[in-house]
Amino acid sequence: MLKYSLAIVLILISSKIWSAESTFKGIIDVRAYYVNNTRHAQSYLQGGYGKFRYNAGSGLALGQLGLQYQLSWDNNWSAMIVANAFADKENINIGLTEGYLQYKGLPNVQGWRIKSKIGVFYPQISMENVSTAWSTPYTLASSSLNNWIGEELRSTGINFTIEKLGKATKSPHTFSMDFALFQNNDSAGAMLTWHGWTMGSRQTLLQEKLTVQNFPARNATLSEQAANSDPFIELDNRLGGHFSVTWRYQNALKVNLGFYDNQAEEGLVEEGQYTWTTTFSHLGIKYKVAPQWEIIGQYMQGNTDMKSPYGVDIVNGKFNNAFVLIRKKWQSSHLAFRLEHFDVDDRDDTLGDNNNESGNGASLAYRYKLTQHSFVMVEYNWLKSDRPSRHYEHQAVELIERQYQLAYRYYF
Amino acid sequence: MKYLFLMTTAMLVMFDVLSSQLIVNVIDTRDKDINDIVVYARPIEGIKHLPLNTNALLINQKDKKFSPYITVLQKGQAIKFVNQDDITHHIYSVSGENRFEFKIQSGVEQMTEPMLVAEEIAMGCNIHDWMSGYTLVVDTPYYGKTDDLGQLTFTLPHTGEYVITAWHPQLDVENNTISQLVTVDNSINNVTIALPKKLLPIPEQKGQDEFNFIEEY
Repeated sequence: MLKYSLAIVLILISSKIWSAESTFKGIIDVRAYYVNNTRHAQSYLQGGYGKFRYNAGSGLALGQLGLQYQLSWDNNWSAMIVANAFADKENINIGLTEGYLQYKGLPNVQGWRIKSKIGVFYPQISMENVSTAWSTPYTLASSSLNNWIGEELRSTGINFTIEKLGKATKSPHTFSMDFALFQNNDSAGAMLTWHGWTMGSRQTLLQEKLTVQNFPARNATLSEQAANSDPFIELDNRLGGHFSVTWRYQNALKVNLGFYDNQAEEGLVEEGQYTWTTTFSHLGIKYKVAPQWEIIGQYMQGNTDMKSPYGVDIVNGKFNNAFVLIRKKWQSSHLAFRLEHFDVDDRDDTLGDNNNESGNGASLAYRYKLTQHSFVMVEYNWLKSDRPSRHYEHQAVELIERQYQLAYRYYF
Repeated sequence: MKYLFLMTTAMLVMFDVLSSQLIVNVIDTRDKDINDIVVYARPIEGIKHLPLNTNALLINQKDKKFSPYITVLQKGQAIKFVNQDDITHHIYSVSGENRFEFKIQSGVEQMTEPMLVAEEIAMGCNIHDWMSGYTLVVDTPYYGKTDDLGQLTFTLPHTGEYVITAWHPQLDVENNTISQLVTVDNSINNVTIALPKKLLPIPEQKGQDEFNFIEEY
């Protein structure tokens, strides 16, 4: 935390020294929610196997208070700091989610442009979380695919992008290639395996630790595992990589294909935190079918592997996720409908740690624009999942969860 | 005094006789009138003695668009950009000889250096990639854009041979222009320029994501 505070102070001082423009943006999202599930399962954030952010019942919540501060110098460099706060009855926290220096050069005659980020940032995967402080304008709860990115993925390192802007040659096609080398993500995959896929709007703050579910193996094979997972930890001093390519056609289509590998060295454990070797490939498509119709689809497939210091496979999970979101806009309204499917295939033999899971979700969101900056949103989420580990909590394997939310959002 | 009046009248009459009207009509491949096409008339002789224009050309940034999308100016004119949006833009021209680049904050006016080379200038914004605008620098004072009837009328001070050129950034031919040689006489001269190809679609100056005040995160 100290180093982040120091970085902020340095950036603020530098704005006094060199001429720079600073901009503040933010989002305030306040909600009323009602969650109903067949087994009164607790939220994954509380260590249960419920897949929503809130426990069963109703309440008021600060869905998100997000602030992003950008300082832009005249030399194509800028600094960005993103802070978020989330609050409900059971879970209150505030902190930073991203912070980086960014370079964005001018394109040359042929449209080639170089961009770079240095610091802590999200790997560029989500096609939903495109608004201030990584919020999504489409729904109140992100898809399970992107909710996992918000929970366990964050790169600390350098990102390098080379783009070819089509407009320089009057071509409708724009291409870009993105390459990142990063650290501090060695335990990514732990929560995806232990509580499975989840749907919501909660991003993990950089200082935050995540409650690990209380399954029997934690008293046996996994007795070394700490009660909380530290998702942004560096254990092996190795660099991970993320590579992706993007194709855009005019302003109607965006296709992104990428591969992520945190390259964690297997079999390390320090202060209860294991290394998880997590790799996945991802595909995203965003297509404006007509001015008022848009389709977003994302797919992810990967593997996460955690070994004991003796090289024994303790957790080996194969995971899949796909969603399709269709959105229609008219006048001040917008309606979004999303279907998703996910699974985790547990392929190890560890007793008391069954991580198999499969589920389907459907969401319907209506948004009404009050003013240019403020919105009212109502949303319904339905999620049915099978997860044998629920037996450890004396619950049925199958769980159907329903969530109703009413939110007021203000972007500034 | 009387003589002076007479002389002035005579000169005016002479000028009127000598000046010629040139009406250019631009049509597309289906013979339909087409508006917003830049047309300029360049005399074959005496190009160096043509009058200069030192007024700045105004281009706005409004609703995250270059407005107007296409403009034309005479060599030696500067461009004045006015940011009418409530956010900062980063305007650039990175090709050819007339290059410029600057950030322009909300409500600010920024003047470029005079444009000294006749050529097409492609402009963009490095913050909002979908923004694009074009301006053409010409070395003649006789230029304009066609109206809704596809017409542009020039009053030319001299008769003689002129090259009449039509330009549009989406006219997919060499240099995005089509020219023809016209002999202008004292009468009303009508010229029709038929574009050899259908214009390519004009890119919509709009981002893919709807939240115009949020940008791409």
